Amino acid sequence: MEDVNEDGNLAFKWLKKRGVGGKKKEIQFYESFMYDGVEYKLYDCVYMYKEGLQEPYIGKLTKIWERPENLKKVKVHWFFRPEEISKWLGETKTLENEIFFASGGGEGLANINPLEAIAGPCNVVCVSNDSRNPQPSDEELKAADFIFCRTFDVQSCTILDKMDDQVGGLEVKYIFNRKEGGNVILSSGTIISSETQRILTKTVAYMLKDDAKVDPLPNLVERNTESERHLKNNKYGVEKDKMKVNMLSAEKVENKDKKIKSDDEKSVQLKVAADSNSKQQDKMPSDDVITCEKQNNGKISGDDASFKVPDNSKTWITMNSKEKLKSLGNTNNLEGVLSNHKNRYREFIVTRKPKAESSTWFRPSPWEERLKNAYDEGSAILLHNLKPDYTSEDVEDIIWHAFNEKNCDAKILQRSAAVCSQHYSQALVLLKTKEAAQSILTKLDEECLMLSHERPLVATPCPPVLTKKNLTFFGHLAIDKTIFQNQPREDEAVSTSHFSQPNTIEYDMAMEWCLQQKRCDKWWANLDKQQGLELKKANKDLQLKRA
Amino acid sequence: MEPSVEEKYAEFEQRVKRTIYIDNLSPQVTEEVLKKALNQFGNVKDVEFIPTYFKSCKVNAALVEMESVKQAEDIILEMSDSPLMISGMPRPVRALKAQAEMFDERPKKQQKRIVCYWMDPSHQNFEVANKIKTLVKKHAAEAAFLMEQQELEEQKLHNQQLETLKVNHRKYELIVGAEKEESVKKLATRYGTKLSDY
Repeated sequence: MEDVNEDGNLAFKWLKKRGVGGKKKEIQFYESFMYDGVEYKLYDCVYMYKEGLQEPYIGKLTKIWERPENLKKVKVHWFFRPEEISKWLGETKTLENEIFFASGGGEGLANINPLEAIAGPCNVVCVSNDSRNPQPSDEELKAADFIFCRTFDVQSCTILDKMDDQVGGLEVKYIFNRKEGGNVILSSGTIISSETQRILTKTVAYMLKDDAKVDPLPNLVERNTESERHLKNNKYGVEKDKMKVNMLSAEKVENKDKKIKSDDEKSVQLKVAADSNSKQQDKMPSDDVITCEKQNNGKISGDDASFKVPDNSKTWITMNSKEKLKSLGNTNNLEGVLSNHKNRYREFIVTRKPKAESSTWFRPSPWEERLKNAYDEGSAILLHNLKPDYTSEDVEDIIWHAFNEKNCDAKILQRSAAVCSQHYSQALVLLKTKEAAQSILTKLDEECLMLSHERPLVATPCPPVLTKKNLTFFGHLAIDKTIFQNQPREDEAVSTSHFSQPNTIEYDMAMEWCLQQKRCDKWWANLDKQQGLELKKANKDLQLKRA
Repeated sequence: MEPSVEEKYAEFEQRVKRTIYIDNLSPQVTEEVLKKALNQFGNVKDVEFIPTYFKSCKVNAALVEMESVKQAEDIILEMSDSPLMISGMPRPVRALKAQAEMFDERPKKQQKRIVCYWMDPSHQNFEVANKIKTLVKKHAAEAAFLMEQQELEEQKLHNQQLETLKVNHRKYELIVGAEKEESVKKLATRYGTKLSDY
């Protein structure tokens, strides 16, 4: 638990002061503070707690102050989840974990709240391609709880792709990612946003699945930086349009693009969308999207059965010049992209997943309830063959690294005496959606994720869960007014405990149960031993082959 | 100072040693009942039930942390000597030493790194690894089957004992009834024996 002060409140401390305000200079503004063990700074994103609300609100702290009498206040500029504004989203496609920053003016833009309503820090990363936005690194993207690049105008109730110098009265530099750390990319035109690159990685990983022999070629990243340099030299002033193009919804592009349909439906499609900033450049084809299709030839073989391109894998690569587009369009370079992901089979070290909600404010519903819900939704899976000393956290980390699945909730099943195997432990994993669960199941089935000590991870769907406490229990007998051996035992005997005395029927029966227990123990021990031998043999095969 | 990982784990190990694993518990047993039952032998510090999530697994067990390692060991010894009934009979509960894996929240043993990798399907070991995967699944199925068998056996024993108990009960009622009807007295006079012998 967190430190608790005398008032019974969560630990709180002001850190950095700003100025004072108010008529009598009675209001003190602050830049940062410590709350519930977490440091918050101005312009940080936070979860805001609201009673009775399943999902907390997300907002950006734009002002922090204290009034006399210890009244701590924060001004919060809101983000909207797609479901909150679904009415106005219409057909607009949203990215995974995308939220919208409030813009315009009026109700719903920002509110003043008591500081205590902050439920925890929220990691929101701006993926806007805007030149003013320091581009996030892959790690940062991976750690993000939410991403955003568009705004929602609370006046006109429309989605806006552009951000002016001020958005909803807030300077745009406070909206974009902070320029700190070493991960600031200066280029004005990042050709392939990290987001798309990440998606590309995924797709390519699928493509590569059955073909590890791809010639190493100059990879895309190099190409990237090259063009970045190129860009900088030429000093395009094209930032504003860039965003628009990136935001072209899948549908839009689909309509525009010239499709080169191949007979083979399973052919791998890699769509390359050209940036519309070409209007400031020399002639670009009127339709700014060109599809290049990589056919299902021998080199990149998509095994029909196992080849599944996830929905979000439509890959848009925005290009800044025609030449580059051409160069990427040719097959060799595509493979260059692929070789970039050859390290897919390399080992990865499982590190600690960033905590999504570190605050003690959120009391998640009890595990049993969550399991029940997940089971009903089909989003629960059971993992086998884990090392017995893994903790639940370890399992969550593994899932995060292997499947990039942040919203998971794992629990190692506690071993009970005989029943569970000594060789491995099992864990229940609850995921956000059924699709996520299914994709992990198929992936683990078709492919092979090796954990430390050469253990392949196995997943099965979650077996039926107990709905309510199961009350059938064998071995406790009761007859109406049961009378044992002259001594009338009343109901009170049931609620107390006692050692059984020899020379009673009870004792005889108890011995029968002991016998039964011993027999079962033997079964389990035998099973365990046999399974151990089988495993050992299999592992030996593994090592033999390796040698 | 935050205790180091090793210190935390050492502390946890001590806790494991102080803890008794109890199964064959009736689902009706509550924390209170269990506490009361074991407070006869020592001081219970904490009771934690091991949850069962699946319909297929019907093991009701709990972890009971005692004040000292000695207490825990003594209780286990005593309970293996005579069958202890909690909240019902005649099926006694069973006490065993607890194992680290039985605990829900357990600290990391050491700052170990977990290294994973997706195996290249063209790798020579891919087949073997797949075989192990099948084996693991098979083992899980075997365990589930055995669980079922165990339950069947338990049910059999339960029914059998219920039958025995009913028969005994009837016999006893017969005797009590005979006493009430004074037919015993009559019989005693007939055979010329004294009732006090009975």
